[in-house]
Amino acid sequence: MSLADSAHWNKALAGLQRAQGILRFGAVEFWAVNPPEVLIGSALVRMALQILFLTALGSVVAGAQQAERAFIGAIVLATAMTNILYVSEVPISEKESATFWRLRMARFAPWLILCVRSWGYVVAGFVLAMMAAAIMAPLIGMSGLAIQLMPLAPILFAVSVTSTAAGLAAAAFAVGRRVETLASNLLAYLVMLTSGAFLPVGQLPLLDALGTCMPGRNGLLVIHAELRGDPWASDFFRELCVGAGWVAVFVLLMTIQCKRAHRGGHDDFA
Amino acid sequence: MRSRPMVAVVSVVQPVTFLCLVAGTRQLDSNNAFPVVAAVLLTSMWSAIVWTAGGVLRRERTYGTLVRSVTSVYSPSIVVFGRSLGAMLSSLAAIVLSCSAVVVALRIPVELATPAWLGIALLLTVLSGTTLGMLLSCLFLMTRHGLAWSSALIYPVFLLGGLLIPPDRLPLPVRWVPSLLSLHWIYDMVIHSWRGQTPIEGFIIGASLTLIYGALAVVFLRRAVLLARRRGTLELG
Repeated sequence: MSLADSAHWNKALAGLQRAQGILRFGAVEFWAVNPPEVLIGSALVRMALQILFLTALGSVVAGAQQAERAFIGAIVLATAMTNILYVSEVPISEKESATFWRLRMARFAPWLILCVRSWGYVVAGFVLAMMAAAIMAPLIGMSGLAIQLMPLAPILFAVSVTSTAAGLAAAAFAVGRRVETLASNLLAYLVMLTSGAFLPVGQLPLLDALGTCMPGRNGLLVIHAELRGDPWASDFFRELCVGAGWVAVFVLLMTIQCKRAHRGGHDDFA
Repeated sequence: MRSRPMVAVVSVVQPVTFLCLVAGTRQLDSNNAFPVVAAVLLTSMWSAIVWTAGGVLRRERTYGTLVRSVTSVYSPSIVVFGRSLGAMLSSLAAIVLSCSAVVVALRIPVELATPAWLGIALLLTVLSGTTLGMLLSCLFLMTRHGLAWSSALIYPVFLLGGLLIPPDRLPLPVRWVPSLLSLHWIYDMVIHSWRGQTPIEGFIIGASLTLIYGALAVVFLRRAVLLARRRGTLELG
């Protein structure tokens, strides 16, 4: 191996070790902010009750025959809304701790560090949604449907990824402004309104147009298509594109925030 | 309150979303529009109670001003009551305006209840929300994870509050739960009034529950402050 190859190899190894460090830090940060008692006692309970509430509301408002559709939509909504809200902790904690400047000084781009640190929220959102659905299904007579949905777990994981990306983008708006909860909650409620989980597609053109950019919308179409036995590859691809789009928005916003900090000579966004 | 984005979420975003969801899923006419709008309004009030009035002491602790608030010349109960009342007044005003905007925009044919009883219901909502917020504020003071527990408390009342989901649609073993919530009785009151009936029962029970919440809040707050002063933990986050 030549000297140049060896240098490249060492550089790659160092980068990998730093990435491992970021992943490890992401896990430590996740557990510090979301200890098990909060995850189980608050997040899981909240998701389970959210699924129950949306299913019951769908049944009350649209009739018992819509309960199954409402149940499926509720699982996807619970995943998406929880991830969007909870992952905002990752960039906002840097702002509140006044350590954003450290991200700017890092070897990796700040957006990359924050994306990698958010892996815990993707996994937790998916696992908690599965647990919540498993707990609620027998209670509301949806056990059969829940078993049918189990092979579609990878779709729910994809929704967890895309909604985490959207949550990071929403939080990135808040890094430089005092709108910590507004951006994330606004996005979460927009997803509720436009994803087709509850409100059928085709009611309002504006909502339909917004919904095409929202995480979970195409994931729901995939699930319904699979249950009908229809092809769903294009819908799945669209869901991944939506996620990639939100990552791009996040990258853009973080770049703008960093340039603002560099130009202003400050990182005190708090 | 105006400087806190969460107020905009619970007072504007949430009622608008819920009302659009229900209006978009179900055909609303003059026979069912008012009960739906009232249910959405009161459901959003619960979120406002938890996040604004219920978070008064939690925020004080975060900002480091809890000691000054509960050890001033005025009784802590009066201080917390005043702060919660302000939060409830502004939240209710914002929720009513938001719901009204959606009703106008979507042309929902709402027929209002008797103005006198509607006014009494709104007043009772503010007072009830204030005392309930005080009670929650004391409870959240006991834990470090008040924010997490706040979000966990939202959906139980959405489900079991007897508002968006009527009590007769709940499982039999839990149909008694809405009767513990003053908001459910306020809803009962406005619906009876809307139907042209005298809503005395709802008013009396709603007002009684409001007084009970207030009394419990005063007792818990006194005990919490006394305990914290004995342990020397009032200043600790």
